[in-house]
Amino acid sequence: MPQVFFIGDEEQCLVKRLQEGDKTAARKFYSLYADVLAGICARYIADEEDVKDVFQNALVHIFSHISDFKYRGVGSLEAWAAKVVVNESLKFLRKQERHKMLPIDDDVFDEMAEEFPSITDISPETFRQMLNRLPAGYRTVLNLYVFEGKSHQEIASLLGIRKESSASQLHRAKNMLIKIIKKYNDDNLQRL
Amino acid sequence: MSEQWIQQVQQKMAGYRKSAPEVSWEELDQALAASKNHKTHRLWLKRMAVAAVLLLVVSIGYWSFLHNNDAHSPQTASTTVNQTRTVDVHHEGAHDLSQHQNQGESPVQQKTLAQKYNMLETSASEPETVIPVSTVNNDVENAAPVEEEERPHAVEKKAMSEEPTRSAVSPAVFHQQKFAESRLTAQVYMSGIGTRLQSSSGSQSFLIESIKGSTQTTRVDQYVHHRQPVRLGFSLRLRLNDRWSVESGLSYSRLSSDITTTANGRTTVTQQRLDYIGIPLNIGYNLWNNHDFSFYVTAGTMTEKRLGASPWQLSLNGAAGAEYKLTNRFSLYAEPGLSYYFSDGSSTPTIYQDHPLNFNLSFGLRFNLK
Repeated sequence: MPQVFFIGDEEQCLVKRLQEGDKTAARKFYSLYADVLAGICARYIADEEDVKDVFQNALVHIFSHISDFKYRGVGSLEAWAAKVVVNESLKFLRKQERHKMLPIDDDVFDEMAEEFPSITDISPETFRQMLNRLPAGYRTVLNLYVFEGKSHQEIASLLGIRKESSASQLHRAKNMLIKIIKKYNDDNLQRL
Repeated sequence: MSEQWIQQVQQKMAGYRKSAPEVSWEELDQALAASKNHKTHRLWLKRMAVAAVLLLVVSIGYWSFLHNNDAHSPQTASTTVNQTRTVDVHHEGAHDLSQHQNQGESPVQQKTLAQKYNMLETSASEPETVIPVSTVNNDVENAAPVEEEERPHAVEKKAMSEEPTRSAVSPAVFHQQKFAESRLTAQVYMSGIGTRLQSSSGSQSFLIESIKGSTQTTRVDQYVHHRQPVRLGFSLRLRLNDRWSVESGLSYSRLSSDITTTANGRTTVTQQRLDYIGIPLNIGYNLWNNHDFSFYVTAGTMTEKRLGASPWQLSLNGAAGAEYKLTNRFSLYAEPGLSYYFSDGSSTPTIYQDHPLNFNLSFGLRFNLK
């Protein structure tokens, strides 16, 4: 969903100016999209410093490959930039988290699916912090499945894992998230 | 049920923004500049690739053109040897003549030939007319059949050189885009390959008075078969406004002719190849164009210098052109045209001299630089 709305062909003009190497266009791009893209980055990566690095790398990639980008209508620039951010995040996670990834026993669904608690009283920022508390492997699969709309098959090939592993990690991510939310809601009730 | 929680989570995070961290603009500006350079490099790479493909096509066409000519060379050589030996015995003067013919140029005697040529002008297009009109020569009966023999080869050569080159100009599949106008256009082109739109052969018979005091009168039949000149060129076109443009560049032309000389019943076939470097200067006028096509006319002059010899060749050229846009950058064009060649003052028989008004068809590729 495009977060920024343009009047006329402003987005297309911005693309053209970026492709011509216009530095002011780069500032404009930053002012329009940086917060959205940083938000995506922060969904994947827990550590603030790491987010900063990955975000910088993503912007470098965006600007150095802007000439490859073909404008395909309103919102296409943001969609493309978001994709770059996701890819850069995955690249970082692959490097950083390989040895940290929990070995997953795919075949055992140790916990029964519970009802998903209400999240209406949780702010997006808080919810993002909850996501960050998930182990990197779980978080990555959940992000790709829920927010990027990838299938388990696609996730499997993106992360180099088995399709079943992707499904079970999503399942575990959900269960863990339920626990986190419940705890948060309980704490909130106690505070009130 | 399972989809519900996903929807909830998606909605929760739909408008999520996080205040972006500080970035190093130095690095980002470099990346932006690199992208622009990268694009320019790729553009040139693409241009060069297309130019290379075109040159390859031209080279293959040209090679097969030359190759077909060479197929007949051994025969030519042996005839020449026979000729030289036999004539040597009979007639010293004719020997000199045939040798000079082989070199393609002969300052003195060719001039004599050319003078006779003009005086006894018969027909310039049909080999049949070679049969002498007025002669007191004994060898007429011999001369005519030999001439007759040579002709099928010429026809065969035509057929052979035509086939491979036609298919060589096969259009590649390109993405089609709008017809964008640009100010500066570069073009590479070729002409004369596979085009047989005009009979380029000429024949002539003439008498030669005995040379060096010989008492005998010798009849010499000269039959010149001109091949369509092959021209390769590169030029730049500058658009002045919507309609007008100027164009100049550099061209290379090769003129090939088979000169068959029959003297005393002996036939010599000589291949004459002349190379020219030329500078065209044309003005163009755009008649009509839409997104994909453009039609225009050009007119101008071309100054050519024959390599290894003195003559300068001046010509007037006019052409009508059709251009088809392949991409924003590239277009293909074909230009049928007429050229008028002024006399270069030399006596070498060339297609320019024998057929001052020459039809030609050139094909090329244009790429927009600006």
